[in-house]
Amino acid sequence: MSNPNVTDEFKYWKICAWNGPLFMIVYMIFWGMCFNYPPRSGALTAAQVAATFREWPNLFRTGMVVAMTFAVSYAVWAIAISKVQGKIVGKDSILNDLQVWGGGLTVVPLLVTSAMWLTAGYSPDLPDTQLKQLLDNAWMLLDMAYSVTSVQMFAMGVAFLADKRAKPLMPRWVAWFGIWVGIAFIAECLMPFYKTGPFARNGWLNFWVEFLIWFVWAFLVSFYVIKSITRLKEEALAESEEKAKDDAKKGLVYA
Amino acid sequence: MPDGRTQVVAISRPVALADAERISAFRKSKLPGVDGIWVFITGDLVMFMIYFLVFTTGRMEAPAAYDLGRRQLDPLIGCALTLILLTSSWLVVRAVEAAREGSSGRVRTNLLLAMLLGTGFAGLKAFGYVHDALAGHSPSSNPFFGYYYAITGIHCMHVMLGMGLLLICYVKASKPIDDKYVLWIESGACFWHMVDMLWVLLFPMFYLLRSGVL
Repeated sequence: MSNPNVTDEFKYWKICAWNGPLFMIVYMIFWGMCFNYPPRSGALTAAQVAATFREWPNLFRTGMVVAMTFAVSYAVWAIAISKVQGKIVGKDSILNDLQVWGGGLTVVPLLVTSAMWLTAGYSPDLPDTQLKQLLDNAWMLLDMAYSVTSVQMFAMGVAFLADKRAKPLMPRWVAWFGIWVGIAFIAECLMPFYKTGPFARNGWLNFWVEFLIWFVWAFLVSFYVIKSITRLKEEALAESEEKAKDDAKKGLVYA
Repeated sequence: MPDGRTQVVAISRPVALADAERISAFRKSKLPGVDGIWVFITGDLVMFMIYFLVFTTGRMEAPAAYDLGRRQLDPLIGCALTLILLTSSWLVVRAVEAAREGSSGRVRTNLLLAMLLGTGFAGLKAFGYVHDALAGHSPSSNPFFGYYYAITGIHCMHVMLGMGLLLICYVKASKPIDDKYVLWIESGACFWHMVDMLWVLLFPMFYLLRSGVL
């Protein structure tokens, strides 16, 4: 016999957790289709950059409108994670706050940079240099805000490492991997110094490797968090049944 | 509330046992340190392997330009940096041995010296960067210096991170040494040796390797 309060609550958790994969898929498609695979090179001239915005204004408008709509999903995902990690470190732990703030604030650069691309698509008749500036600003903010997401990764990693269950909710290697990815993001600091080569914003180290390890981490975390929610629901249901039995017994004794 | 107390005991005992079992399981596996440090080391080695490949590929395309860049660096500084890191690694090994013997005084002394050498490495590297920058070499001046600043810069960040781990071990050594502490110091030492090993590869790559073009 399932307790509807318990099942409903975990259903909400799961919906929130699915926002992670949802965000990644939508972003990969709609943000990516705006000439971001790989990014436009920092070495391009203002005229070359402007030509792209002028040729494809509606592509940028469509892509960035959808990307901005779903950017908040990242924060929703972070909140679901904090609920799960709260079962390990306690719901009042500062690690939950750090994780949620890190995840929530990650949405800010996502929104602001998408708005810059959208502005360029909205007003492609702006001077070439302004269009290039919008593109450069967007990439500077998107790459250099890495430390905000690192805070989320560190807090989450430490929280899941504190899991003392015989079979932890999140495998320990995934928690460690998250901490490592958070540190590996430091390589983003090199980006402003290069316009070409592997460390430039469109370089395969700065873009493909750094973004790929982030995606791998996010998918792994989503997979294990969703799986954990099912497990936590079963545990909560078993606990509630046990409590119901105890209450019934007490009722008999007192009767 | 006797029932509540019984429950606390019932929960905390398996937790303590699980911890002990995990530590002893690692002992049996012969792998030093905590499990996570190997995720770090593997990740970092993969990343640096990619850096080496990228550098080597670029070097094959323009051997003369890379050789010219190499000649601008002072090999004596590179040599001094290598000796500093190798010596600090040796001191860390001594600290681990001391920890296994339970001698916290020796652990702290060796770690302190290792950290001093690590600081020396960072200082000398900073001096090298300033020296190179004043000579007019910037990350964008040519591909060799682009890679030089980027890869040695990332390595330097790893040195800082390693120093942070050694500092934690140093502070923790003020308490009596137990099995868990040994895992900590082994983890810090493994990371430090990785940093050292990477430099042993970076030193010839940037300072010594000739392209065959005179």
